[in-house]
Amino acid sequence: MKHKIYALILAAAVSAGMCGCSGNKKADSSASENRFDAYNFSSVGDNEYNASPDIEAKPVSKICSSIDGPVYSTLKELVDASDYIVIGHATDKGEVKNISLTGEDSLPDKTMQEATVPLTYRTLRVEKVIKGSSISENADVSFMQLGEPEDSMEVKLETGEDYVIFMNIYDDIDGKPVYQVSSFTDSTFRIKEDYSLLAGSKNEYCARYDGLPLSTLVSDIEKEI
Amino acid sequence: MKLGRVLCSIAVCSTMIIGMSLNVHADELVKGARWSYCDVCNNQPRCLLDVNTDYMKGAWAAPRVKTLAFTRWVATSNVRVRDTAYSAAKVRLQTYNNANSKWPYGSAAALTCLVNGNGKVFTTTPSASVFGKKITAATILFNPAYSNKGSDYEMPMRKVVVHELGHVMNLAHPSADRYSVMRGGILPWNDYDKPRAFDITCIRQMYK
Repeated sequence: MKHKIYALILAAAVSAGMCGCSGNKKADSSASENRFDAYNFSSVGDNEYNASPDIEAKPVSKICSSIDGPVYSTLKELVDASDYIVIGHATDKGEVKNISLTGEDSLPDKTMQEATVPLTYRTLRVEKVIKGSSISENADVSFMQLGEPEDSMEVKLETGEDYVIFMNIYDDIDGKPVYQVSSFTDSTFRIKEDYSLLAGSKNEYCARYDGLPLSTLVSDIEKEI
Repeated sequence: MKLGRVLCSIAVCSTMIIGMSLNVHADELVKGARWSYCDVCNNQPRCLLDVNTDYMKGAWAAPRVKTLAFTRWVATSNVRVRDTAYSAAKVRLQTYNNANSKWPYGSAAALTCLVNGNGKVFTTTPSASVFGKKITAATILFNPAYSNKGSDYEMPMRKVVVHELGHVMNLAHPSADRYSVMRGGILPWNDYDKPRAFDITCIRQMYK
């Protein structure tokens, strides 16, 4: 372990709704039209903010945020970081639960303390289990996605569309696990009607599966387990 | 191993090249709001930013993580970030501890939240800094899953703290080829937990 190279910095594309408490959350409408491009960080034009701290900010219609965490550069790293890899689809748009952004109730800044972040709890129908022993095929499980159903905080699974999903357990509610993607950027591959893939990430090791058959990815995953 | 190993692209630039490019690209980090002098400086010649670290727990609070991370910025920029137990400090560093939810930010190691002068809350932005009149408060949330990590994790965790403190000063993520502690990805196991020349120049431009 001593000489391993870690990279903790950077990664997940998360956006808009993280302006939790302001009441000015605005969904990125383009995200729903082209969700698989949503990992491109949206940019904010120069005229949308001010360089001077002394000038009142102009309204900003679209804001991108990020979370600093591990990024993976190979399929093996992603496989190792995922306790569960399944093929499945979301059966609903889910229910939103707002939680405290910081989880603290003693912050000196009231605005920060009252800020919230939305979590969407969805139902995921698991069709095939590629990795993970305590999850059943043809079962419905709870799946949490950061943000609201229509925002681009995290790339949302299209309801009814099949995906290869890399995930871990996020929480346990009433004795039942709630799952979450293991990487906000790299964890989903959509399966198209002809069983070819559309990677949810433009990271090279993911994007190279674009257009390739599902069986190729499954085979590569199985080699890494 | 839960932590992902990543990146190793080594951008070895000469000082001259870095210096030349700074003039052109420093703007990518320094647009947007910043801490107001009157809020943080108390008429000191250097900006003084009090940071309450009492809520950092476990490995995040280890001296070789937290304390060393602070020295990285103190030694290299004209903003002095001071580790304090001052309860009213406008910057709070804390290991996430929400009675109603587990850490919802996936495998992320940390998340920096900023409040601007317009009363809006932002998390750190990848390509542009936080907008608005000024920054009035900041909180860095650390993933509790790392709290029990051993000494092997000290260096990467320290880098996370250094990086997040950069966000507190409203540094954004620069382009991928930038030689910066704010960059996504990382250089090999070396002394790369310090602000680089680019970071220092940006801070100095912001907090003249």
